[in-house]
Amino acid sequence: MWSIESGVRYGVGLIILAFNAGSTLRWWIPPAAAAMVVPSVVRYMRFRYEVTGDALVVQGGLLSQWRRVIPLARIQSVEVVQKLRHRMLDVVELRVEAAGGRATEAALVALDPAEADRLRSVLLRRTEAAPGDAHEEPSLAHLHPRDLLLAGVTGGRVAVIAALLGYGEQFLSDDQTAALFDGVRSLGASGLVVALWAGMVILSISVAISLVATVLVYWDFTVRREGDRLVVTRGLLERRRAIVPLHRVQAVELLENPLRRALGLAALSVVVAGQAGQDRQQQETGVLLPIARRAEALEVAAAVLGAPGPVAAAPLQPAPVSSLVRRLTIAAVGSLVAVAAGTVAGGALAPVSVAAGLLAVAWSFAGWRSLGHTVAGEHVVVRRGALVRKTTILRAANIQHLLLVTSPTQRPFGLATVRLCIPRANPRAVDLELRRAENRFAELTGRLTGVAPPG
Amino acid sequence: MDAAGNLLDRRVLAMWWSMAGAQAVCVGLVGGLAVWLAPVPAALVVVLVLLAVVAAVLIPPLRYRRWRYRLRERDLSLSRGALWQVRTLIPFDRIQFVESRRGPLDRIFGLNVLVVYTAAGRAAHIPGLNTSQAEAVREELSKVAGTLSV
Repeated sequence: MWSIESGVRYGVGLIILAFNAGSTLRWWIPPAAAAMVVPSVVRYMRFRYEVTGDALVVQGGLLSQWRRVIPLARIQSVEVVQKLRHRMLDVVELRVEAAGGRATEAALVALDPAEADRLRSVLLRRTEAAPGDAHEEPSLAHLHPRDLLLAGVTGGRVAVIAALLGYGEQFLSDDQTAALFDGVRSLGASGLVVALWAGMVILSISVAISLVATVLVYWDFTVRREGDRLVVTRGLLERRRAIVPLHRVQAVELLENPLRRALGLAALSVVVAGQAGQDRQQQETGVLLPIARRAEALEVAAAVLGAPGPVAAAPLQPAPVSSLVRRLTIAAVGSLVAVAAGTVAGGALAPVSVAAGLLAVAWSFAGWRSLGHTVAGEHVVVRRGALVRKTTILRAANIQHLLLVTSPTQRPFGLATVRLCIPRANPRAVDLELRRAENRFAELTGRLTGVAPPG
Repeated sequence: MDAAGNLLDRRVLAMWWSMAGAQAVCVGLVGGLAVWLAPVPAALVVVLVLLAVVAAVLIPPLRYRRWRYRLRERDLSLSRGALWQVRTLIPFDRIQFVESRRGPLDRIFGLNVLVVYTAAGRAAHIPGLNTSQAEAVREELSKVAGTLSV
């Protein structure tokens, strides 16, 4: 597989070179090709993996030899990837993620699919309830192409643009909008047409990008529960199959952008310990549902967390009014400074700073409205986010440490934030009344240490 | 918030003051350059420099007074912060490892830093411990870390 990969990588360059180079250069090409291929062959021959007792041993190396021993107990998840070039050769790549590492701990780049299956079940043996007893359960969720279209249209860029248009419409006064149109009209009828076309083109391009990306990444998206593991398969050109041991799941995040919120839709993702979360591909692995109706998504969330159904739908404690006052005060002070600066800098900037101020007010209101938290049984639910609303549901037992933070702007309003530190995510209950925050802190302290809170 | 717990070594105050002083000097230098080279109003720079100086004088003692660490029965509890007031709770059985550090500045002032990690990352950064304090805390934590199960 490696020789194929580098062959593909350099082969194209060589062919191009062969055509362009004069005849004097041509005899260089075979040695060059050999120089490209030989290291791959050596790497292939040196690469070994085996499962010995309770560890996975991987070794290899071209010039300097390396050997890595990964205890099976440390393996957090195993992902099977099949890119286009893997498909051509009918092989798969197996990626092993262990706790503590930032990158993929071991990548077995070309395996026979059957061997990959065998290896995966051996590696995850410890996390399986009963090996060989992985009876197929009905899938938790499956996406049809029309769901994907919906996801693409309501996702990412498009939603942001639509939201901005919506906010703009609400907060621009009529005569300002009229002034804008006057400006366009002064360019003549053609100016208006050009402006409209430009807007349409930008919008449709972003819809198209979003659609194509969604379809490519999430084609035939299926989530299935197998024993105590979650199996996610997806992808059009590149089939991916990710296995997540359920006990590694730290939290579930429900994401609603404004457009989806209006339509009652949401996306769901899982936060998994030990999963390299840095690059994009891995983040996509965390996606549990690219799109679903809110209620459906909550059901899946509850199933994944092993929570009784009502937990996910438990009513949240809203943030107190003092939190709104705090946010509006900050927005007002900020806007005043901006307006003052705008006026000093020149009259032309004043309308811009006024618009920015209005946007800040809208933003703080939206941010306040989305705040909420609750503790329901074994689980904690927190929600925040002005534009994209994020609801995090986590098991209290997964909290590693706790912070109670009072910022300088929170103190005058008697507010505080409780941060629930879990691996790979940063959920927080923002703007609680100080008293309530302290109670929550004490309550969770009791849960974590097994000591009942005093009083 | 509760005032119980151990204070840091007093020398940390001198360290913070010298750091904050150096920062204030930097602000002054940058401000001076800005007035000299660019059309920045001098009044603005004077106000900023004064703010930096006041902060450099007032914040370290405030921070020192508020810094408390306490090893309790089953957890390490911290309380700190001059402007952002933070209370931290780290259950012993969640501690992954403890690291002690000495930077150049710490060495000058004869201080130690202890950093405590949980699976969620860096949970505590306790500056300004003298050697015996650091030794005691590290000993205690290594005795209890990850051993208690709830």
